[in-house]
Amino acid sequence: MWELEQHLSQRKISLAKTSIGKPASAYISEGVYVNPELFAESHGFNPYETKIYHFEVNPKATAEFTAWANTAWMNVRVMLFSSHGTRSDANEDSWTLAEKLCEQHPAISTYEGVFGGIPHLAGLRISVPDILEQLYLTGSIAAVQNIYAPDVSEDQIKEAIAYAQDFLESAFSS
Amino acid sequence: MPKTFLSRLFPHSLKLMVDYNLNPAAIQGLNRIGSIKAKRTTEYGFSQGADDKDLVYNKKRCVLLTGDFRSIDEVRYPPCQHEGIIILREQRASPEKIVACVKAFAQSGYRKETSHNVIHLWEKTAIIHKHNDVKQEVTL
Repeated sequence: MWELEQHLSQRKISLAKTSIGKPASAYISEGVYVNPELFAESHGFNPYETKIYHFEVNPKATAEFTAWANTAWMNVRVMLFSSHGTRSDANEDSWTLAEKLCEQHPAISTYEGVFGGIPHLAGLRISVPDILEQLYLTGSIAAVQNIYAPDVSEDQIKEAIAYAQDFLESAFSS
Repeated sequence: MPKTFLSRLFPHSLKLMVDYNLNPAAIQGLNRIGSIKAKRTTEYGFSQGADDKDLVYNKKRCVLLTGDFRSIDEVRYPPCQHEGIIILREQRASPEKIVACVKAFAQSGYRKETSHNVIHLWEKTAIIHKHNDVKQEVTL
């Protein structure tokens, strides 16, 4: 159990037992791949009666988790919750930087419901990569504005470009 | 659904809901293909900033056509839980290229595989993700 707790605490995961379900139900608050043997041993649970509630953050880790948990010998039922959107795969540093830059660029959002949190124009389904893509294809801000008219202003497009620049510069600075 | 005389006589069009971030100029081209009825998400009543899941699990019986391969895929939105998703995988696709990709797919004979499945679409190939993790790679 100690080993598992250490494993989880390294990833800032909180594990809590609950009275719901018997003999034990575990809530893993963030997506993480947990060694099945370690998990079973540490909880001393009956695999035929235990439910694991797994909160989805990293879908690929969740898929792996579900795959082992649902194997015949484990026979654990896994329930997936998308408690706060389905964040796209990327390393944590990238997310931290993306969120930090949103403070400097209020027109850009990392709301997880849209594009899994990829930086996008606030309130619109237009991501920063979309803006750059259209800029690449059309060659001018006015043309990009024309594509998404009347919902997007020139300032929003410039803000997206500035965000992309800041992101690149920050990512490669120490 | 079994095929009837009428369904054979008047084959169903593929109802596509085109994601808001795709160039709307592509929609006219898609509708010219003939077997496709394409509309933008906003024309179905969704807001310009609608959530991914609202579009995927839409109640309009529409297949979602999106260019967002980073957050919409078969892992997050497994087959059989929605009407179907076509994910354009061509990078920096112009409206003409979007139409060419969809046209190649629609005329390839794999169009019937669209319902409830997740399809990754390139101009000359497609990967169809079906129920029970079945994955089919096809050349268009």
